Amino acid sequence: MLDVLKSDFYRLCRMKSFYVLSLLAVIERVFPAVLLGLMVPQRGNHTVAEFLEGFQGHFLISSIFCVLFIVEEFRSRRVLVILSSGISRVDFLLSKAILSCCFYFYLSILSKIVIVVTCSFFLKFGTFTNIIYFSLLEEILLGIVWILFSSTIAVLFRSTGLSLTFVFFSNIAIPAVFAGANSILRAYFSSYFSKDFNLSNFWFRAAFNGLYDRPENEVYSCLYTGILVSVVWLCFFLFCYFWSFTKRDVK
Amino acid sequence: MGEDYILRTVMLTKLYNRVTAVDGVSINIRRGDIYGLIGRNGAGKTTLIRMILGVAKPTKGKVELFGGKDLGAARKKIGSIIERPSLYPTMTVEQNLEVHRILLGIENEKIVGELLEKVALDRARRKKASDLSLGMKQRLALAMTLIASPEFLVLDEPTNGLDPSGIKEVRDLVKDLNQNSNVTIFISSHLLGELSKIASRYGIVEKGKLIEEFSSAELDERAKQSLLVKVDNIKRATEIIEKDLGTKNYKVRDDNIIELFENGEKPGEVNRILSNNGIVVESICKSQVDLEAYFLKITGTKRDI
Repeated sequence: MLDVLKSDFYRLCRMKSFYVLSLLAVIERVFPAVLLGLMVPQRGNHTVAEFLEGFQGHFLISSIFCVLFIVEEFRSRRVLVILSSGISRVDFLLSKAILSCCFYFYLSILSKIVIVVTCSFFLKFGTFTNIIYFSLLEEILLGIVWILFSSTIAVLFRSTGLSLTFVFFSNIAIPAVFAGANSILRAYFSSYFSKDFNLSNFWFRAAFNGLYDRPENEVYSCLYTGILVSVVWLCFFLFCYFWSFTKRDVK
Repeated sequence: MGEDYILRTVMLTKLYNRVTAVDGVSINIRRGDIYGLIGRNGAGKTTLIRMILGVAKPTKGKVELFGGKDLGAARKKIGSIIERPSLYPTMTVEQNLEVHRILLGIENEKIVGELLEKVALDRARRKKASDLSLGMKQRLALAMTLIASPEFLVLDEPTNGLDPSGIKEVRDLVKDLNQNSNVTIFISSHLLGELSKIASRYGIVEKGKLIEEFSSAELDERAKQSLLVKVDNIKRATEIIEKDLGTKNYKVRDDNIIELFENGEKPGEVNRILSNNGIVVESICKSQVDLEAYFLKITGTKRDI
């Protein structure tokens, strides 16, 4: 397993897309940070720490990388060589997922460094509130689930275009489906659900929605629900990820 | 007994939907063999190889490697090429070998350079794999199969797309590995002439079934010389052959030629008997039945070998 991971890291460092996407992630953070920094009135009231708490991970850029990395194994037919060399399918898949998660965390750290450097020109650093812990937890959990989702799609479709289209489309379409289903439930079965029930929050991307706006006594229940929803989706995608490959012949 | 066999398959079967790609194939390959797998396109050669290598799951039957059942561990001792070279196109020749070395956990870093020299790619080490010719890609793929010093090489059409000198290089390399490093080799190829120069055993696959297995010595025995006799009167000549030579082991070809599978070593006597009976013998010559002719004889037609 360790050797598979090492070889994947070797490949990562020699992929052009690794550098291009890193640059894209930096640019994507610099611009809003500069704009926000310039636009913030009375700069003294806002801090860099505040911005750090507000920024989320690079979901879409990470999924581009994840899809490129996995599909390349199938397109180049290297997967045949790897599996016929006695590497198990589980090791093969696990290594790709771990590497993609590492890429996501790398982008997250890179983003935070970029924000700190950029915003420091305009603002004081300030101090972190408790929100930073929630924000980090959310970023880590949702990042892993998102990577597993993208990886599953890449293994299922084995085509860069198709996988990315599906991932990006689902990013818009699935919340819309959940919102639609929520409206139907509320319209026809309102008596069965509490006023706070919102089906949309059960899609993992929205699992922590509203966490930061809640009154203090509700924060923890919202946090636990978010964690539970994320873990359930994580298990589901993990199962799909392995199932999608281990049961099929490699062509 | 188990360790004598590098590969044993028992009634290996693969069905795709309702189509049987491989049908109950049982193959035994001994250590030190060069086993040539022959079959026309779609006969099931590649599917069989894929099952052996673990990239396709058998519908029925089993595979035994190195006399054991731990296929994962056994496959670490195998090098393989399936159909065409599998390389990362954007990585250089050297990087492709290096990533494979790391993947297999080989600690000797010098092996990359040594193998590049062995397959004559040391000058192209910084070239991207996508910029290589097919022959160079095949050589690189071969170098990758050798990186873990395999005991067993499985090569599916390793000479596909190679020019004559490339084919010779692969042939020499395979021979060298077999003779000097005792590597057992399982090779499928369309080029039967090439295969017959290296293989020590053969298997013929037709419509997913292994229809015949034989050694090169058995092929020589079965492919004894025949005699091609061109005459003016086929009907009369066959009567004389049956009556005076006492054999029905012949075949009449379209071009007034009788192919005699017996008496191949006695062209003079055959000529004398036919001439004495008033038959004009226009030509008489010996014909050696080679692997290709034998394959065609066994499988019937000449399409898509």
